[in-house]
Amino acid sequence: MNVYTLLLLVAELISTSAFAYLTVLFIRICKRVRLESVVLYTAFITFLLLSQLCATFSIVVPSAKLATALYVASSSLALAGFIALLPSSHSTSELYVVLPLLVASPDILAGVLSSLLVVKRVRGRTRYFLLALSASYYVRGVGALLTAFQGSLLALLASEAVRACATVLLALHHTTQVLVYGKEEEG
Amino acid sequence: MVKRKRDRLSILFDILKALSEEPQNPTKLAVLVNMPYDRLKKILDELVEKGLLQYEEQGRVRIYSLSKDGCKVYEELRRVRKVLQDYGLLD
Repeated sequence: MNVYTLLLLVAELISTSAFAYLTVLFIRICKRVRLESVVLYTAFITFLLLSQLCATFSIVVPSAKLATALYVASSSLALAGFIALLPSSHSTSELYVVLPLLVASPDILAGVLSSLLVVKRVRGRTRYFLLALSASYYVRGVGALLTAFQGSLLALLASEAVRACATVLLALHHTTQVLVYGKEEEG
Repeated sequence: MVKRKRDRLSILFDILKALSEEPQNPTKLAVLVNMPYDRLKKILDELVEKGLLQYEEQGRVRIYSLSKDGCKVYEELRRVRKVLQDYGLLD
């Protein structure tokens, strides 16, 4: 471990400890007060803590691929935290256009990345199930935009239903693969 | 400039602050925290239910004060006040 990595790790650990302290403090206040603004700030600080943990682990894990995954997780979790806090600020009106785009962008990115995974890597029937999940993320992204701009919840409800179904299919497919493994061997 | 409506956290903070200085009856408290009596009464009932406030009846008047939990919450809110103010969550 070189000096740069060591210093970076120390910095990450200091901020992780500080965020952990704030998270505990705010969870305690949140339990007693139960007000939306405190809940949102608690969510914000908790997501930042999780983001910090991912960033810290991304430095220490030996695998470059795992480090990359943790790196992406750190920014995604921070993004979730910022989104939690944005609508609670008092300048919401000017965010009406930008916020839906920000909310929809992780879905679109998840769609693009899962599509890439399907094209480049995945084989067998899993390909179809992952493709369904991938498509559901695109639908979800579009659903979030339609909901924000048309004011109808229908698009969001439909896209959430599509995503839930696709997730169930993929989860059941993998579970079936695991469960039938022994029986295939016996047969 | 239009004055922005106070959010519930700011109202809660104001109520806890006023009661930390001295127990009050709802009429005087309504003046101190600058809000209508009816609305304040509902909030006081909620805070009693949450265990943050307690009251004792003096004749027909209720005198509200901070409970032990209420004191803790007020102290914790004071500690995090600057953080919440910086994010626009508290006036």
